[in-house]
Amino acid sequence: MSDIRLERSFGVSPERLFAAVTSQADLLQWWGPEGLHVPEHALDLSQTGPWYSVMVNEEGQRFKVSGQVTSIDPPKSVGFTWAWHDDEDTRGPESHVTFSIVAMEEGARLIVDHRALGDDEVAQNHEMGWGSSLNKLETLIK
Amino acid sequence: MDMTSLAETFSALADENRLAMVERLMTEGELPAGALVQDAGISGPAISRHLRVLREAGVISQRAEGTKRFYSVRRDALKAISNWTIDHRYFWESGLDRLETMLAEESE
Repeated sequence: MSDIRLERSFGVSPERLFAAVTSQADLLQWWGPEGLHVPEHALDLSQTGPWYSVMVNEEGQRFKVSGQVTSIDPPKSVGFTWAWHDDEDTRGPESHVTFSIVAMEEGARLIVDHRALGDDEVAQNHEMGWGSSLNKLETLIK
Repeated sequence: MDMTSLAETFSALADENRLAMVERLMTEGELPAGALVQDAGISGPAISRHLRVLREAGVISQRAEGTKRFYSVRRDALKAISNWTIDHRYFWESGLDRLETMLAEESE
């Protein structure tokens, strides 16, 4: 997977934005695409330690993802690892997500960085290959 | 598709050469081994090895016609991958849309 960076500004304080992206109650309101439910979860990103979520779409397909919260610096940033599980609960390649919050004159800006883990070439190729085949798949399979 | 082989599918695709071969088969359809050797810029034996890994992982299938071997992508294998996970960009973008709605409603 090529590294992803998304940025979005919100008209709330950095503290409120930080809570919205770390507290389980808030996370469950926006975690993942519309139409997915999160029936099983331990989605508290406000402290270091393990987290996971199982998302279920309208067709009943399950998507499990899990990781560890590795760093936390309220209200500026939180970092956690990320890996999808397959149907037999085997964990796939691990990547890393960082939420960074920047205070602005009016509100706060959220930066989401989703990066392949490790800087060795094999890991990079693995993630890149995964991402590019998935992108291709999406267009071919429809 | 047998789900035990999903991890195997991923590891089979986690190689630049093999991924390029699969992408080519996806785009052009069934091809003889010779065509893959010609354009890949790697040796025949290396191609054979890559094809074997892909075949054993269930990503491609092989058809014999006399002494010739033809390869094609197994769509159900790729579909299993596609069903298993969600594109990360899509995941975060759609999530942030919902976060925006949530926070906007609060501040109203």
